[in-house]
Amino acid sequence: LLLLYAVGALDEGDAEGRELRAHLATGCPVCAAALVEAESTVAHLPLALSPQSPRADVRERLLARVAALPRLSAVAGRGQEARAQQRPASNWFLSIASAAIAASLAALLTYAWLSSSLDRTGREVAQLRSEIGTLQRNVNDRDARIERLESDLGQSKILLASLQSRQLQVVALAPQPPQQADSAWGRIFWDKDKRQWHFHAFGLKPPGAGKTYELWLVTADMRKLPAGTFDVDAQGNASLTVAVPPGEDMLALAAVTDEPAGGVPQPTGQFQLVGTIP
Amino acid sequence: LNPSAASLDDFDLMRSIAAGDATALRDLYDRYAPLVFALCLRVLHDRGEAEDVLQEVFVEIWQRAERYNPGRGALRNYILLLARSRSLDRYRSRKSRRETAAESGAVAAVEYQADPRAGSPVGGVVAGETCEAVKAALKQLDARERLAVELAFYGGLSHTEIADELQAPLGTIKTRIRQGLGRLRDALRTHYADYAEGGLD
Repeated sequence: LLLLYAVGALDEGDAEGRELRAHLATGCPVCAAALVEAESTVAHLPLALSPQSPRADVRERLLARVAALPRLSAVAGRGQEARAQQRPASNWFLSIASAAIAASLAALLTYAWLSSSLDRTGREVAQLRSEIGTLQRNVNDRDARIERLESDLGQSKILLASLQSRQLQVVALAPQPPQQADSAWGRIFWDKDKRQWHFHAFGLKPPGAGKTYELWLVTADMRKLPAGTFDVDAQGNASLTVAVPPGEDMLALAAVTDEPAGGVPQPTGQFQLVGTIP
Repeated sequence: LNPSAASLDDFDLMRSIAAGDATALRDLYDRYAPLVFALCLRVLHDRGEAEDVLQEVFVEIWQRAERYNPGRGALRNYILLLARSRSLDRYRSRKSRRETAAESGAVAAVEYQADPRAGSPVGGVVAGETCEAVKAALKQLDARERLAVELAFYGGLSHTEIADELQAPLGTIKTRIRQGLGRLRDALRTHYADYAEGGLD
């Protein structure tokens, strides 16, 4: 029925079609994946056509037309630019106010210096202590940054090694439901030589208290194999390297769900990311 | 750095387009225009109208690049289904439904000759093996199955309309479409499994 649906052959009033549409609207990931395959099948039909050349001026007219057209998403972004352009005015006001406050503070300090050199020395000591504290925080921040960079470098080396594999497949994971297309996403680099998945997620929200994210390998016969749990960093990013179990080469889907901390043997939570493996 | 089109995959091109890079749109057009135009021409049978729709498709990609969701399938599929939808919209607005049904037999029967200027296979991007796999799978279909599939895809007809057009029972038409597409799906599964194992393309 999904093939009939994908090719657009189901009548609007068809009872089976209504039932199918209602089921798809529930977000069932298995049927969603089957629909992706059905649509992919249908989309292959034109590959049997002989390629044709449009006139050359079609290309030139297209490029001239888009040069004059705003991208609709860019129009939405323009409001933010306009708001950003308003910032200098408020910054100007803040600068005046800051300057006034600084001048008042300077006068106060001068008065304090004149009235009591001891008090001045005490302020200088406090200031030095404050600067030392600031420097110490900077050192700590840099140490943490170095640690993160070293971790990223390690991940990058692993990824680079997998990209050099002769048997590499890339799987794109999209958010669920698909309407949230501008939020989280993921990619898997499947190194078939080493039988490893290098999974990377971006923009995931924190999973919530007592929860974690879990990655799943879904086989062609829809068995769901747990592939490991992971947490995300402040940007919602995460990486995970997974060994693909021997004999499990016919994989149809990769999916991420949110689960109780520690993970579960079968998915119980919401599907956050799903990707089909062609 | 401005990597050449050949070095960018579809996903990267689409990201560049979403970022407002018109060069990426030009590269995507060069990659897919011969195939998209062939599809538009097959539906519309009018070069001028097919060129109009071709341009509309790429303008829509430019303006709505963020609509493409990689999780819903390959970019090529997205572009072709978009082109098919826009071509059928144009066809329906041009003809009444009755005329559309009457002409759709011709839609399925006409095969345009390969245009040597268009490159081969399909602008040099879509792997030749995949095209050949699709052609071979369609040749294996019963002629009536293939006609029913093509009336649905290129003619935009529902199974009821196809049953009326071919004077065949509704259940028979459903079966022909389901079996035809099912065989194509199975052939593609085999093809891509071979691709994964042996690096066909």
